[in-house]
Amino acid sequence: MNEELELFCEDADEQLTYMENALITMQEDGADEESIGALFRAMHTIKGTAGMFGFDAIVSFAHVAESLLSEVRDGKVILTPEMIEVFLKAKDHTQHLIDLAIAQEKIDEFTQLTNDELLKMLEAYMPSQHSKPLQEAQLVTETQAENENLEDEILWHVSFRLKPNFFATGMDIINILSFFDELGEIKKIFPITANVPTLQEINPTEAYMGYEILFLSDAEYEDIEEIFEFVLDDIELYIFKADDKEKLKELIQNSHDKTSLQEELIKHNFYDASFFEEEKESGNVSQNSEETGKEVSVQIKKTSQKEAKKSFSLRVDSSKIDQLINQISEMVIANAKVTQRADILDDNELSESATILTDMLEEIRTGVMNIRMVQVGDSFNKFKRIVHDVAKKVNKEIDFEIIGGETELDKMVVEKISDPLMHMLRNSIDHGIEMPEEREKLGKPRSGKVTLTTYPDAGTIVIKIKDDGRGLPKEKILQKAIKNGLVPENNNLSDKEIYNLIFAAGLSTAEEVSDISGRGVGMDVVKRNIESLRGTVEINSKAGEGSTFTIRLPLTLAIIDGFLIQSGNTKYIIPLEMIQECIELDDNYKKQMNGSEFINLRDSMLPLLDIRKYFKEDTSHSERENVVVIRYGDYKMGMMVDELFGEFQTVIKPLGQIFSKVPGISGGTILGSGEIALIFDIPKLMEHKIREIN
Amino acid sequence: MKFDTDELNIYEVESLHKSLLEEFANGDLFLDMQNVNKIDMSVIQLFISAQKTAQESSKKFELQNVNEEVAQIIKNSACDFLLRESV
Repeated sequence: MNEELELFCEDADEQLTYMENALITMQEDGADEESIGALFRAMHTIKGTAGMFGFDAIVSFAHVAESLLSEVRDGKVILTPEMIEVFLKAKDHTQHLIDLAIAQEKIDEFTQLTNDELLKMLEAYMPSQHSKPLQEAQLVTETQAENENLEDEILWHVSFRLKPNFFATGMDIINILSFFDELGEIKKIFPITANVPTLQEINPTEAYMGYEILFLSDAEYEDIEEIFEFVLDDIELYIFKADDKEKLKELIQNSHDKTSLQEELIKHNFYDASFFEEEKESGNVSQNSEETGKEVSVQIKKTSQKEAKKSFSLRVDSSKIDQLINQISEMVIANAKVTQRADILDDNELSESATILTDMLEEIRTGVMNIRMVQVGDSFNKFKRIVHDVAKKVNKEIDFEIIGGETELDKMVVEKISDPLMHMLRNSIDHGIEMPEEREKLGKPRSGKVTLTTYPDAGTIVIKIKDDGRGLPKEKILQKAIKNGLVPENNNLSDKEIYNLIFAAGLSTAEEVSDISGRGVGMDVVKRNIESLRGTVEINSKAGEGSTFTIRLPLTLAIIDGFLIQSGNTKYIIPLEMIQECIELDDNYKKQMNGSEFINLRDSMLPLLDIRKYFKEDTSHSERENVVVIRYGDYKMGMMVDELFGEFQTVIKPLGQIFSKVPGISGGTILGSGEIALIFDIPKLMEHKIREIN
Repeated sequence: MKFDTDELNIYEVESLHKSLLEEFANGDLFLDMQNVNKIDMSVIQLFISAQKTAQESSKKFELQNVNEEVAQIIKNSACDFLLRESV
């Protein structure tokens, strides 16, 4: 797929997701003017960009949906829940049409049938029973816009030349030109044909043309530039206010046209010849109205106040950010080496510079990491649609709430966690929540409550899915697990361990297999996906009251603030945010332990994990022993280690296949000395300790 | 010269170029556009090239029977001069 098409896909995807979220919100909270307007604009944008690529099927379908939305926006048609359903279907269909267009596949019979049916449904809502013709609809929008903003209009000069490889983009410049009509009025336009060779010399697949345009609009520079969004690399573009003599001079000077651009511009009445004379005052651009033939002068408004800088967003390929993070990671390692060297040399100045560099690197690191962070709400909103659809399918009433949507998480993690969450939500609705009648009998409200909560906690992000349904069938799960040979009959499993069995492959207790869930595939994949993100999942459930799935994910996957320790001959890293405190394991504590692996820490029993024993390390070379107290979720544990070195910016490096099965280690990092330190997998170590205690 | 295809675009432009060169070798060039309903910028550019070639060699180049759709596309591209009859 070429770059332009990729951009189109991303853009369309964004618009469609936006539409879906807006429609679902409207269904729940009712429609307001602003969201209807936004809905209209989303459909309008899809129609427009599809038009740029000549995807006619999408344009004609989107046009009808857009026309109806326009009527709704103008208050001529009332948006009903049924209509929202149709729009949701229209959104899905548009997505399908886009997929087909991208794959360059023809519209199959079934799609055509859906297309026709949906068009009929949409048109049925139109007051006049049919949508306006394309041209007319566009005109209405234009005129409205014109009337509203007549006073702020600026006369822009837009000049562009197609680069030789332009046609390879698959974009047709005629479609792009039609976009000017959406923003304002083209006062004058002429093509630059001087560079087009004769038939004997032309390479017909190369582009030689260009355009000069005088454009009256209240749009800003960025809005006009956006018309060329998909082809910016494939044209030479100049946009400036028509009274900007300097810019005009620059354009003419940089022109490679075979005829004089200045003469052409005068010939086509863009500017008076006098405009090019230095001593003349700038400000008057003469233009000849083609329709009337009369000479008119447009006084260009001074609009410096409109040029106030506005913030804008950039679309950047995520691999570029990954590359940047990798480079910063390498810099962190190199800097650790410098710091170490400064210590060995006892060079204060070098040491100071290294410290400054460390601080700066940390700032850059945080900045770059922040680029990758997105609010989870933007992505999680799509679950509203899924919940809505599933609930409808199984005839249940669901009150779905997203809490903490503003929590930020790495974009890649958000994308990867999406499928597991979707599966768990489906399960909650399909199996967890009872039928409305059953709920009423149980004295519960008819609507089942499902909440998706996200919040940061001790260096991790917690995502909770909670329902107030019937809870997990403990006995059934256990029986099925025994039957499948997953656990022996005379087991002594705790409730949590039994619930965790649902993550085993092939264990579904659903009595009826539906197409939503209950095939016994999925929950094992869910767990695997979460673990691949270095996350954990935990289940709490109470019969008749509901279940809670708690997922914990690390904040980032690349560089963490670590705490460097040594045990035996090996150095280890503990994620800093999980550390609560460090204490010296003095004789007093040792006496308390009396051979056990617990200490009394301010009147509460703290289980200890002896790292040297766990990883079969040599005896300690250190005179002191220390305990690092860590917390993960609801659990606390002390880790018995030898030396404490302190904070360390840790670049997480994978350890390779051979070490992938080492329990309790999640990766490695390179220290300034070139040594390798191993990063603890705290959840796994915690799990081990809990199992040992039980 | 008459076209059988409904649409002329970048995919046909190379063979179209070849045909135009051959036709020009035989004299004036009148293109019957009756069956064509859609063209793109690469084709318009080729027509401009053909018009230029005709002018330089004092031959005639003309688009004939241009239907409304194609005329609109040419107008939208601001290349209306292609629609004028050759002198």
